[in-house]
Amino acid sequence: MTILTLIPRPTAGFQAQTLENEVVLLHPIQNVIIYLNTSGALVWSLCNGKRSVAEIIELLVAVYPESEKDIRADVQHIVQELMGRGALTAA
Amino acid sequence: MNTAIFVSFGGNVIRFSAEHPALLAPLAVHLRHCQSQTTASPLSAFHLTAISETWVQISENGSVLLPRLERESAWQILMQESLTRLNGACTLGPVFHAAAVQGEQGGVILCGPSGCGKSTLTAWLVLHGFCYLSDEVILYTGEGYISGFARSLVLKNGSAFILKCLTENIQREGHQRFSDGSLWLAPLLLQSIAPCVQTLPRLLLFPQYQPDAPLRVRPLSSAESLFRLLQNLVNARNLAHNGLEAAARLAHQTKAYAVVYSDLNAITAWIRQTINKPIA
Repeated sequence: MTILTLIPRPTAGFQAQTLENEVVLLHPIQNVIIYLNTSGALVWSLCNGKRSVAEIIELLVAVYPESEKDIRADVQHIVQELMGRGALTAA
Repeated sequence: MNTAIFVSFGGNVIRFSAEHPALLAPLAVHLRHCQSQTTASPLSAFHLTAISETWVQISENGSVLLPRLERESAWQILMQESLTRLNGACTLGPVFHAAAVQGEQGGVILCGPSGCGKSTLTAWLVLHGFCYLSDEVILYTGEGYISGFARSLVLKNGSAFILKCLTENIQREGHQRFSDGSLWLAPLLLQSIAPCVQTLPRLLLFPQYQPDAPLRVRPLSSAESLFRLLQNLVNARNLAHNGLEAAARLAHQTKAYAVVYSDLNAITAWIRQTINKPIA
């Protein structure tokens, strides 16, 4: 299984606060606080436990075709980072 | 004969008592602006008992907490305990590890962990015309105001150069140097008016003192500001949604900057200039 086939979903216990298209995630029990810039916030919002990482990339490439290369790299990086911090779980 | 003082912050009260007023005198001076008219239902009642000329005992709610320690250590512990207990119990709004002063255009919050230079910068700003709110914690209320725990400023060893600016006042009551080099400095030594009670925040700074660094200022987005505020939130467990929404209101309401500095005059000038800019 590669990261592209993963279907990420938000991990239970994380609270999200959106401010001007950016997001702060808080897990009060684990005392984890994560800041997501606009790109990170967009990817986070698309991780709903139904779409794979590949599908998230496809969605974004359809909207921003000129940035396909960056989107492929960034989405995978963001998902890996958020899984590493425990904020996303494979569904 | 027992003597007692009551200290309040964030809707809660702590009682300090002793058999003799002299045992409480430093706390009465350095917590004078935090003293409460309300004496009912204190969170904790601390009592100081003299064992000898040098040694004292601290009891809490009738049980011995620390059986034998030097007076100066007891005062330092009680000063810190009052802060910790009152912050930890506050349910009125988020309490942040932050200093704050008030300028003509509104409040300036200096938020950050111990060692980032909050207290020294606060003392410097108060010495240069800003009104003191707190050097350690602030409470943000739902109405958009901040209030501070206006104990004396506590300067660590190394910040005592501030004292050199106070030669005319230094004989007055209100400062106390401890054997670890720290200094308690009543805000009235730095300004002629009492600390202010509350203010509308206008600037939210996350300062970092770095020796010899030129002044570097980076504007923060509201989310970046919230991220940093949450790292300095001390009573999250008492608040709805762990304080996330309330902290977000402060982050959204107040222009925030990360500031690296070494020159106190340079950062003071920048703060004056920035706080006087019209709100966009």
